[in-house]
Amino acid sequence: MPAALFTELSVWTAAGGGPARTGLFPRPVALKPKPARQLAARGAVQAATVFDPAGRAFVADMAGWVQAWENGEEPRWRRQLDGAMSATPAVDPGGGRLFLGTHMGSVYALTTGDGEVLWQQRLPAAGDPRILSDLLFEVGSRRVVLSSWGGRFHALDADSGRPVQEWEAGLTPAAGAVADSRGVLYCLRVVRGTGVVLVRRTSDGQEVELHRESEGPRGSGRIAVTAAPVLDEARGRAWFVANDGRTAALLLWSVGSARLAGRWPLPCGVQATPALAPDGAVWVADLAGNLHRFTAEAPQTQVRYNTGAEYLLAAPVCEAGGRCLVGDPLGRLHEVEPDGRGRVVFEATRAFQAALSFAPAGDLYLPGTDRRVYVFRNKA
Amino acid sequence: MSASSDHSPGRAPHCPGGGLTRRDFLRGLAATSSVLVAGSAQAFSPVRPEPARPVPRAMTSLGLCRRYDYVEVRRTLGRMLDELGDVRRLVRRKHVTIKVNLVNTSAEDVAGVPLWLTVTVHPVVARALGSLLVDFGAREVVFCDQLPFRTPDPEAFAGYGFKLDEFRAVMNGRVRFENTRNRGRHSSYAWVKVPEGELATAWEVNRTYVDTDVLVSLAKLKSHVSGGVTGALKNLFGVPPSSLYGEDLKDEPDEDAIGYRGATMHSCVRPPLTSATSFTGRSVRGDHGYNVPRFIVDLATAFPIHLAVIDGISTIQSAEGWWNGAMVSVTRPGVLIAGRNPVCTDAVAAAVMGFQPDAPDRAWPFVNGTNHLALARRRGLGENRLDQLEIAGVGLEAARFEFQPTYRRAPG
Repeated sequence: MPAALFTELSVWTAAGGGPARTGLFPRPVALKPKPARQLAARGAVQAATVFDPAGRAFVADMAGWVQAWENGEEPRWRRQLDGAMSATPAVDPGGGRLFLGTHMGSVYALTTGDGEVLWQQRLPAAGDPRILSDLLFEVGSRRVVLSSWGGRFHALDADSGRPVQEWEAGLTPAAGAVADSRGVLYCLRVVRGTGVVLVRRTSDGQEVELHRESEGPRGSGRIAVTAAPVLDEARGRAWFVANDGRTAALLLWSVGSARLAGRWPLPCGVQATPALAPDGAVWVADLAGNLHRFTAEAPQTQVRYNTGAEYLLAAPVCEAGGRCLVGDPLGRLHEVEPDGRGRVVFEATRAFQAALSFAPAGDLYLPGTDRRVYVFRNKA
Repeated sequence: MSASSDHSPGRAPHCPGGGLTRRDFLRGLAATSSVLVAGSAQAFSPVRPEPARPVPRAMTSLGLCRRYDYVEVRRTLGRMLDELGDVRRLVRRKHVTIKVNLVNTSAEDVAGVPLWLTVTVHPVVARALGSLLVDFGAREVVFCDQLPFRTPDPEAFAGYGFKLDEFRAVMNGRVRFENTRNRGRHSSYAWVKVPEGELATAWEVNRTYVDTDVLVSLAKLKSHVSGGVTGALKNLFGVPPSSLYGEDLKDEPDEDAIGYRGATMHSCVRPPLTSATSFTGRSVRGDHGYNVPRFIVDLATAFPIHLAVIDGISTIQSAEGWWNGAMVSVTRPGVLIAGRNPVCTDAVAAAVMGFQPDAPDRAWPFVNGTNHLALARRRGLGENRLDQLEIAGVGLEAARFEFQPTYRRAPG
């Protein structure tokens, strides 16, 4: 792996790591069993922690506060925005900016150094404007991309907050968009009467519907789109989940051959964005408490780990050694081997509902609804 | 039904809102319109002044509980009820009715997650509460709600995970389930008047809610599109029976009806088919955010709740049911809430969810209408202002778990 790319992937600037939202940290991680630090938030934390290249950590919470810590230790600044946040923010690693979206429908750009507001943009919405989709900073076009319950995706100019483009986001959108290294976006939307649609969109606004997954017997109104697609650019793949209101399917889109290359049915819905494994497999956390591992090369081979929780809400992550990590609603952190053997490595007092993330040095940040972010040092 | 009343089969207990003869009832209606009308909320509803007397207040207890483990739930709930101080005395040798928050079907789920983890009270919480009340000396405990099934009552409840045998086993057999969607096992309905009722002057209901000494509201902690939050007070919406208030009725009452009350008590496009007119006609056609909070308060006035218990271990946010589709999402607060005054209890519950329980009407979380907690205070039912409330148990800061508020309806 080129050094520059390696460094870039090591800085988790968005939910799932970066614009492709792979959830894969490119270095081996061996966690110490107890958290070295607990970062105190003002509200339950339901968004993943993001980082800038200097290792500064940013935590947005449900009380509407965003806070910055230096290397997961010293508080640097904090600021209250106009609403709660459950969407994971995004960092502009070269520009020193942090972008956030609130349940009030506001998008903010803050400086990463001192938390000053550079701009604020309120998204137009006839009804509810809340932003639930994880934010994306697309480096090439310097745009911030997100959706709101107004039913639109918005691309904002990262320098000014000015709306650049908007397009259909479907019913109650909550899944973030992803981008490849050329700035091509992939996003999901639910369309009434149609179902789940995977869309590819170029920076000049050209849109192609890649796949339509029919809506199922319960209709589109019951279909939650909360899990973002996952791009495995090296292998030319896009993984995505299509819920149907009760069950779901994991789908694999081949970018190179422009066709659906795989489908795996799941017994219930999926809320969390999947995570890639270093060998190209994908981990999926479902709403029955199971963590599944699927591989494109051996579609019949499936690994399953039952967490013992009734459901999983948080997205899993994976490290270069192949181990998958996920928090559960009973407040436990699980570490699962590629063969499906797993164990509880930590237990807190309340639920984990947000994705994990890695600091550049491989320290694991586990956001809790107990208003703490647990920091586990990487001893690898 | 009062804490001190005696209950015996031959003698109807004192009804909280006051027993009502048909003659009294019809006389009371003389000044009200029987026509449902449309209009602006402001035209009909000047803000009530604060009550002259201090509103009732009672302690609310908060407990943390991560999982639906019977022993863990019972231990937590037992500690909370003890903190309230007088629950043992309240139920000792009494007939207790528990209105449990189930919903209009048991065949649904939220993205594959069962109803009891999302929308309805988990049976483990109900069983733990029933067991505690029997331990405290309750003579009999009846779990009731109106369920859309014509099957025998135990069978109807089983769909929600309420297995009668499991309840009997931990309650010394002193338990019954009653589906109150119609008259049920009773020979007549009960009329219960609403003192100073705004949209309803009386309710015609299954006698289970009247032939009792103690009324417990066992609710689920959720957002609610029309009510902002749903707790012990909103749970009473299930009291008016489908047989008289259901939207599947044609032109007359029907003991087989199983419909919801959307047309009569949400959109208010048609009156109920009660044996006498009891709605004032001061509802606003189509405005759920106006009608639902007022009906909640009219129900709470007629059916005083002696004990409120809220299951907030695992639930949904943004709205109240599976029918809200993808707008709801599963969340895991891991809390139990209990109190002796339902307004205080619901106000604390709203605060646990990260909301201001005295927020203005049409502001979050009551974004689509009236703040029924404030309305209840103005009607003298209980205190909803956080700085006036006494909280025991783990305390508000430890219990706080912010919810996504309900969604704002688009205009029109």
